[in-house]
Amino acid sequence: MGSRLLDGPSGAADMVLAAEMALPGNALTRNQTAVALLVERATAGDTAAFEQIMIHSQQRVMAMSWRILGNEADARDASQEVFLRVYKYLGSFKQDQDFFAWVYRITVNVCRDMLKKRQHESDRFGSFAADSSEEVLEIPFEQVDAEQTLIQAQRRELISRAIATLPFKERASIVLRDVEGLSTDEVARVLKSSSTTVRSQISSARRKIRDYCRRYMRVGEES
Amino acid sequence: MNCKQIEKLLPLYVSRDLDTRSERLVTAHVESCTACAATAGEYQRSRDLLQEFAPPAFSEDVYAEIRQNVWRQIGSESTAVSVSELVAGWFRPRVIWAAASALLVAVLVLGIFLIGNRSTPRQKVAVNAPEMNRDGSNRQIAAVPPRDTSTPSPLAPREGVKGPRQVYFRHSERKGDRNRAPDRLNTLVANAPDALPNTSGSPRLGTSSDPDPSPAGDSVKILRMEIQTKDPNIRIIWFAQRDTKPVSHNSKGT
Repeated sequence: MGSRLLDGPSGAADMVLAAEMALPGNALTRNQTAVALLVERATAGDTAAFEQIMIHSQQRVMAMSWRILGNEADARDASQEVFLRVYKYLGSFKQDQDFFAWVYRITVNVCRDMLKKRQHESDRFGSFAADSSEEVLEIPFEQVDAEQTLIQAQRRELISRAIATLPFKERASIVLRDVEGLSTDEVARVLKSSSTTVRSQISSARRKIRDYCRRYMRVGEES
Repeated sequence: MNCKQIEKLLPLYVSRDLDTRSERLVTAHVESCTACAATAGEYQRSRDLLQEFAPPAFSEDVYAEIRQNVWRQIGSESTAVSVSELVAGWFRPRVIWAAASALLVAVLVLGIFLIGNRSTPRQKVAVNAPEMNRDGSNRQIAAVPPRDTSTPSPLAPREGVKGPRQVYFRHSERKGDRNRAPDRLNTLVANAPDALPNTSGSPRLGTSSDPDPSPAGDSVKILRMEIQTKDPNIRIIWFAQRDTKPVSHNSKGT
């Protein structure tokens, strides 16, 4: 098993599969047949197939985890846990399901568990300082000349903090809808919720993010 | 719709998540209301920011490390599971053990049932056929010479009717027969006019409490003859083997 752990696509079929799965488009409407084939092989004990599954979904899982959790270390831990759960529950995955929606759901659940755990440990060690968001973001002096880099960093930090202020369900909904680009119905499927509920959560999240950005801009202008 | 109502719809309006009718109403309102148009612009900008919210580019090493850790953890968990399953397996009821136990119990129950069925019919035969002679031979009836029966016997019927003298014979075939039910002993009655009537009212008659003189394992038939004398306290009991001299002794009655 160990020698095959880090094998890449092992044959022409896998190369084609990798190319198909890397195609841009809606995250949940990729080549389901190819994914189903991989899942079937992995369920049968093909470790190379599961390796392929990880390779093709790692960026999505890592990005989603990072967006919800806000830092790389937690995102790594979350991704690892996500793949462990995928491996563990692969047998219960139904072929008529959307595989990436299933992976997203696992990712959301893992992130929720980690946030709960983090909240239980201590709010002081949270990477997102939700209560310290009234301060103007500090940008290192060396980067001032790089205006574009500065602006991007500021925006990223701003959105990170804004997302961190949201309740978890609203956070997951807005990340899936606006960041991951899923439709409202797809978000509802991932979160096992109704479209109406998801719309309500998205509306509330956008309002809070807009308010947060307005406050930040105002504080920034005053300072 | 006024601005307050429109403002509630604006978060979903920017992502076109409203139904067609609501979207048309909001569009018409925003075109005529600068405040609501500005608010819609804010929502649109924050949404653009969200869409630009890309994580930093993680290197391939990060992903490779994640995958390695996943496989390592899968391996350790499977090992832990296999060891715990091995230990738990000894305490877990196994199918083959359960089947063997069930089979053993079934055999035991069947054996007990069969043994019980073998002994029961013999007892039933003995009970239901008290008058049968086991070896099927004709019983020997001994006649006793007539004697005077003028003296009533306490064993005689209460109405005082003189009846024929009754002689009881018991056939003891085997020593083992002593332990069997008394109804298997054959009681024969011979008419003896001089003998006092000796009915089943006597507790001594017709019972198997008397010792059986036949030797163990001897198949020789022994005749027992009881004669009630005039004296109610005297009863003559004869034990005789076939073709041998009868042995007599007196015993006091009840």
